[in-house]
Amino acid sequence: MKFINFNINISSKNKDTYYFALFLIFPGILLFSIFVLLPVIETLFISFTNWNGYSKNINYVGFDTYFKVIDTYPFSQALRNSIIFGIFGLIVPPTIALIAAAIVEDPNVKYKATYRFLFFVPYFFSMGVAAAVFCRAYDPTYGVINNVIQSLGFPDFKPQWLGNHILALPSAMVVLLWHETAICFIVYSAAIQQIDKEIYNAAKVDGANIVQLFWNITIPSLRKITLFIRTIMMIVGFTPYAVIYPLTTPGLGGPYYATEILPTLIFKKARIGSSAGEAAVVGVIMVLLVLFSVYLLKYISERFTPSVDTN
Amino acid sequence: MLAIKINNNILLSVLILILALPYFGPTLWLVMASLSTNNQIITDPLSFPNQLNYENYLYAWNKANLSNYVGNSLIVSSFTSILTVILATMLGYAITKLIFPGRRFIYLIIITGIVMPVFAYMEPLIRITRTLGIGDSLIALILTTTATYLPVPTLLMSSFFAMIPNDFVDAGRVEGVSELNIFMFIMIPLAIPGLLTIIIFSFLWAWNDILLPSIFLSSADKYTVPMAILTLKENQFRQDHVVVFAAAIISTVPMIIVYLFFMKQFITGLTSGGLRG
Repeated sequence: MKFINFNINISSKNKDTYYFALFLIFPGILLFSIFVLLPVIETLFISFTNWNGYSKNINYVGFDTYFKVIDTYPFSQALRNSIIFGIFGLIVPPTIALIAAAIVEDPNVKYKATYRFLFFVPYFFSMGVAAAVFCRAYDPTYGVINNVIQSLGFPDFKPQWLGNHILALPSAMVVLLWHETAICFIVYSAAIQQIDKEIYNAAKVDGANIVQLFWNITIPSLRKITLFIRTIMMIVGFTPYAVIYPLTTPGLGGPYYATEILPTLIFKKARIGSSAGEAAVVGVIMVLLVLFSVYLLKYISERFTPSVDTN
Repeated sequence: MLAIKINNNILLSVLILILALPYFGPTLWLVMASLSTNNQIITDPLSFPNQLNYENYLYAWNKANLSNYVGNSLIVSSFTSILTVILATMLGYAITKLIFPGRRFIYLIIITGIVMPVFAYMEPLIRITRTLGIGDSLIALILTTTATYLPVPTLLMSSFFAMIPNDFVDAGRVEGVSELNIFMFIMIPLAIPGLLTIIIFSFLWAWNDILLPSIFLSSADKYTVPMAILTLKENQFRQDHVVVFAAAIISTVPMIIVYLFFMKQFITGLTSGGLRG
């Protein structure tokens, strides 16, 4: 989990510092305990009960609620969609951003600041606002997308982007891609600027071509930041509530659960279905999915990269 | 850095513009559409508006009550960023520069907090805010946003403090300066770039978030800007596209200000804070 270096850099072992340290950590840990740790523990506890969320009697039922939830179609659909979204987020936005950043940060390119601005523009919008605008654009009758398709000479081609159970999920992915590539781009662009230019010059003297420079210098130099970006994008992909909620309200989940994801399922079970136990189960499974994937990604990244550190 | 040996700069520029078109294109259209009329964006969406309708913005600001929501958002974002920077600095300093029992444990808890999606524990969280008597309030939103977001800025501050040599602390101790004064008057001034990064970061985070507002705010007069835009989309402005678009453009103002004036700071903070390499 060391995406950010945790450098233990202690200067004194004086016992006086104990009390000062406790004074420093107390407010933050208190807030964190009340609003994160406590509800997390409660969720774990509730997941082993069949509590409906408001009644007084809470029965311990072991893993019964887990089996009950896992068997349902909305759950398997939500899990599937979350995983598809996660893999998409992990692969597509960072890759496009890396290639775009490598081209823009090329020494031959002029007006770099302008290009960086153009790539970063989507991030000016909150993801929810972006999705709200896209929702309007996807509208089959009034939306700009179908209007453009018609004016290009396909008057009968009027797909219901968000109403069609095949198109709904890719339509939502487009919003995620549009929005998240921007932040990946700007982080990559900053990271590429920090690579030592002497390495490139030395490689060029040895006769390396563009692709070799990109493959053998740029990519290995960005290994750590790539792992960081991909991990964040994967977590964003698993839980893209900010995309799904604006696009599919009030349906929340789309046609035939086409855009059901784990967060919308939790939302429905907890707020509408009045089943706190089942909501907690989905929550626990979501956390396990995220933790497992984060470690898997870290493992893969370490396993398949050469041990020689180019940085 | 891809060292393309295309001497023709124009060709390179065209390539970049084509690559960037899917990203800036929709926004350009949005700006155009927000100055257009509903009729025009339905019948002829790609043409430039006949006349610039600034009224859309006035309408969004006054009639759609965006002024009120901007006020809410400013309150939430300001308090969140102030609270976050104070707590993250204290925590980050303690776990990096001081030894105390349970330091490793605290670090582990903070790390776990990063990968814990809020939705997993949404329902108990709502119950806790109700128990504390702050359900459906901006205070609940500020406290929960700060708490759930806290791990990231704490780790950033931790790596900032780790880059500051211990000599500063030791020199202070030799001179007999109290721990509190070392922290307040020696370490914090040295960590100002980190503090600024976190203030900006957390302000934007709170400004853009729709997750926690959609969970915590049930009365419409307390909505933040993104929430308000979502309700605009849903409710009375069903056919009024241009007002939604104008509101969307208004919502980007803080982000644009940050980009134009602080982006360098923001990125340097991010990349030098331990993410290098």
